[in-house]
Amino acid sequence: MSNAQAPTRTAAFEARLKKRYAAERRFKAIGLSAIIFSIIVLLFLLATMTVNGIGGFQRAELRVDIDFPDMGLSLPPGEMEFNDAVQRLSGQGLREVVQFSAEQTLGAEGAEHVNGEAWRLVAEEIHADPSILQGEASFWLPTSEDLASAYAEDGQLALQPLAQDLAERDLLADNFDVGFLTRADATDPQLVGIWGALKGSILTMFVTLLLAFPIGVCAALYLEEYAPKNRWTDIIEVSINNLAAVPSIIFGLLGMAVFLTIFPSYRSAPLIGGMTLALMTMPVIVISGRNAIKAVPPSIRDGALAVGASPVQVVFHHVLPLALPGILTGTIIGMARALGETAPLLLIGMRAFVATPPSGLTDNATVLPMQIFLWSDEIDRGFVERTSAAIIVLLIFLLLMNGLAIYLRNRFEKKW
Amino acid sequence: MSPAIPLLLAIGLGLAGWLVARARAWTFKRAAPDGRIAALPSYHAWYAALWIVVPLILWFLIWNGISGQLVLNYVLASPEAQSLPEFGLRRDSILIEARNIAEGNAGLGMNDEAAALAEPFREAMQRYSLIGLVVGLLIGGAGAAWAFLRLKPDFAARTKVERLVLAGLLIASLVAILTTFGILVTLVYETILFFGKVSPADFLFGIQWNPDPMSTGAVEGDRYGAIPLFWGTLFIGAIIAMIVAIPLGMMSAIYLTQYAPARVRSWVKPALEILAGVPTVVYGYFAALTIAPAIRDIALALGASNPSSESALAAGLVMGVMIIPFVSSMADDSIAAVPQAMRDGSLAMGATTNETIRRVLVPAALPGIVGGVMLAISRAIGETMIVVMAASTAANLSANPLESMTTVTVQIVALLTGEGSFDHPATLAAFALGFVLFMVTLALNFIALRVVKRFREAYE
Amino acid sequence: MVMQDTADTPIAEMAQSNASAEAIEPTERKMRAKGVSVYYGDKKAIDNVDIDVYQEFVTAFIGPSGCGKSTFLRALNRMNDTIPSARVTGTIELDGDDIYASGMDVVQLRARVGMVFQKPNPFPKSIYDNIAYGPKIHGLAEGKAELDAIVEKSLRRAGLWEEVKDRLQDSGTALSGGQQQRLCIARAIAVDPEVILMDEPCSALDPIATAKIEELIDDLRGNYAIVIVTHSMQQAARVSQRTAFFHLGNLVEYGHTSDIFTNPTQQRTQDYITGRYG
Repeated sequence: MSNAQAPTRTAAFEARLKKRYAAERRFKAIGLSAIIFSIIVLLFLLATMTVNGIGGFQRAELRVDIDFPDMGLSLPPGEMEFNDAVQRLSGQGLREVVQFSAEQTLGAEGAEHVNGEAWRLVAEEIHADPSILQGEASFWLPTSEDLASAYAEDGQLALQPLAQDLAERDLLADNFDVGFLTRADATDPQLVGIWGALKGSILTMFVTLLLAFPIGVCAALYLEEYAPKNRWTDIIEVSINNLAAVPSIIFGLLGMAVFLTIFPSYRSAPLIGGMTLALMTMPVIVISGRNAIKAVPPSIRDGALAVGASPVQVVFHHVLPLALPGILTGTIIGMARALGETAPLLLIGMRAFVATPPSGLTDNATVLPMQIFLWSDEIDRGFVERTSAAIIVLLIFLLLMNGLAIYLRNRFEKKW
Repeated sequence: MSPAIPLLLAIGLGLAGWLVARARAWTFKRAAPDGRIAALPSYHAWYAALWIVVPLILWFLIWNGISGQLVLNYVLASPEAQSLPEFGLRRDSILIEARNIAEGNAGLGMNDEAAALAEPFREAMQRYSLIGLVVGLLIGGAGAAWAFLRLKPDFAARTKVERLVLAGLLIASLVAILTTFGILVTLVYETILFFGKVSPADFLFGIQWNPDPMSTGAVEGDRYGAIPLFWGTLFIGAIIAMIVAIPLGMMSAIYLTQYAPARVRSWVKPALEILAGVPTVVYGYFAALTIAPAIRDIALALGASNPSSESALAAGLVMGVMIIPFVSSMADDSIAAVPQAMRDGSLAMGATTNETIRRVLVPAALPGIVGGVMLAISRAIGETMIVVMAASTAANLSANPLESMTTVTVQIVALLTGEGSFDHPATLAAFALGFVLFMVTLALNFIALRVVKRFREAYE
Repeated sequence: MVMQDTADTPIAEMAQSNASAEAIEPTERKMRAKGVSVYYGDKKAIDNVDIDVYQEFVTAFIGPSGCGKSTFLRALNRMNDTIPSARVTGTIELDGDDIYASGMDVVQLRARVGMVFQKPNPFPKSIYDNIAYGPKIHGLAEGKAELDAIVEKSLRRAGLWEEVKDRLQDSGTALSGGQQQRLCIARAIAVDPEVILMDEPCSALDPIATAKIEELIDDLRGNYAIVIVTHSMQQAARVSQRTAFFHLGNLVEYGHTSDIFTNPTQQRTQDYITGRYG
């Protein structure tokens, strides 16, 4: 038979086969290492941020005992605005009281390094609970920037013995800093918080969602369900696809030249930021919306048309509800992208130093990624940790949004 | 006037119109001999509501645009305004402050004039918002009247409402064109202004980039040579980043689609998606804080003389990592689009998996992969935050990845966040750079999307 | 062999007129399946099948769709390995060696047992590269001249040479459906396999192209053992010497093609070939 000389059964063939399998193993190993490399980079990035960021949620604080009755402070009972209370307490010399008590507890050298704004914290607590004025109380108050870095064994060498000494006497410690989540930007890393930026992000995202979602869904419905096949539709399609891939900084140029010219007084307002990001997010929503709408089988439309529904009724009663989970998934992903976006906002001026959280859409504001960018420029060690902490907060938000999108996709994805 | 007032007014009137129209349609329906009218009562209701709300909102938008100017005119005509300085910053700041006081946003300010002007401001604002409201009410009433006159048992309210809905959808889809158009007009306009001051040849072919936003007097064209920027952008985004992203992204995609067990895939794919979802500002921080110093240290240890701590390599490497998931998912899609029959055909001839991948699947998926890589390049060269944070602002025409380099996007940010005035050539140069960036990415995207689309169609 | 008007001719006659159907006795058993079952997950697709495949014979698998005949065919060169949930029990031997044994190399097995698919699946490469693919990956040709020779020989044996010799560099996907399928057959024989499996090779083709393929199968029979899965009883009757009838995952009857079509022993076979179901 021909078997004897069949080329696939020779020894040479089998020798080659060995080499081919070796190549196969190499190739597979390369693929695996590519994946492992990517995952390691991700883990390294997250680990760096976490290690640095944990410090950012803490701050060095000094313990100060204050004997209020001794000092003769009083706050009249009853409703009182916070600002009034602070003013009144300040008038009664709270600031000096804190300074004096600090000297008592920490010694003169230590008292110098109680943060200059620390007395406000005391005032805040007194306002929240005036009864502490009746007795003695101890407070953990933020240190100065210098002592904080000395405590972290960084910064001025001369201060390190003092920090060590205070720490040994349990007067200096790193405490979890709740205020980081409730304060706004400041020049002192001991006093900064991200609430200002976070609120700015929330307001900006609100505007973005309010504009991009309805426009995006309507455009997707029109293009997928009603648009005639003609040159106009093609132009719309091409521009949407291109807009989705245009660098975000270009939207910043547009926002700067158009929106800031129309509303010059709203520079760095969430309104303008939100409008700019909406232009960027809208194409993403249109594209994912169209895919979701396309996935609704034609039989559903036929069924509705056959019972006499008008094309508008078909879409709004049947197609849209069925496509909605898909549209929402795409919207959340687009919004997550907008939430992490910095470049266009840089150009329209949302890089202001915002020490009070914005209270409306037209107030000066900054956003979380911008806050990260601004802090990253500071050289102070305290800001390095604060930056990483802000990154952790941002990543948690993004993770939640993406998780929600994945949940929606898995929960509602239908195979027709 | 708070924007909530007109909005509430519009909603309130609309709701009233909706209810009344619906009630009226029901009376038609009951009176009709067979209990049928041309459209459901709710469509009559929507018809009336739309006729009330749409004109009302349009009116308030217009009024909002013009009333500011009217208020200002009123204030300037008041006797208190006569003492204002003629022109300049001070005049503007007094006016802004006065407005803030009048709106209750600020306490007493720095300028006494402002306090004096606050009163006329308050008067003017009250007066014009009252006018706005009254006119708005009239317009809403007119809309309502028009709609109610047309409600009849045989009125095809549904068709009318639906036509309006369709018009709304059409307008929404035109926003995309408007945006593209807006971008083009803005960039072209500013670029033409720029070319009026610096010749296009100097800009496109010059090799010295050293603009001075504070300079006055004659424009020095030889300071605006953008070649070093283009080179830096390509070197970081299209060369270094792609050297990282293409092999890693491709191999990840191949391993995930062809080798990995389903369980591994279900964990690794979301992990890659997370990598794709990390904001660029985080990558930028990572590059500037961790990678760039590390690279400088390594380069020093290897004996490089004077490596930059803002090296092109650091920015490029991190950008490459950022692009990995993008390349991976594009390659994944492209390979998945190759029919299973190709794979079976190759395996059935005794090809090993990697022979099948390298000789059949990848060549068959090549158009899709090439398109994906083009999209990735377009993303990399338009990426801003990583280079702003990790690359330099100093233009440098060099092929040494350890040197500092700058990119188009870095310069756009640097020029526009500086102090230059709006018509300074340095500011305009940013728009010219933006125009070049837009055109290049547009071309890349356009070609890539075509290639990918044709490729998909070939296998459908 | 001449194409007959199948509409009027009873299959039985056709089978008998297929002169080779019973006249020759098999010389050599090429493959043997014993007690083979195939599972997809928990579902049993093939239950306990015994079949012999002979050298220089065409063996046809017939049966209604979903009966498992394609599944069984894919078990013969372990193409089921590419489906993660598929599992094969029992033994399948090629020249007496168990192909599922650990010593059997799947790459070598597939080089020895070639396969042609239902839908023509030329690679998106040139005609030349399609044929050269197998010899190249297996390293069967030393140098360009030898490769050229293999390509020409394979195309000639597939009866395609005259049609494509002037455009070997054109894309394989540019050919007509029938030509594509002959290209796939040429591609399979380029590595000089011992067995060729064909999974409904004509189901996507028009009658003229089908006739050409059938002619080709008959020509090739002399050098290979061929197994063909077919939907069409007429085709089985025309081209095969042995026929196996599958139904619901079982091998109902296996024997001389003429016997199966003239006097089947099983009622179910009888019902199927007379058109009661299927």
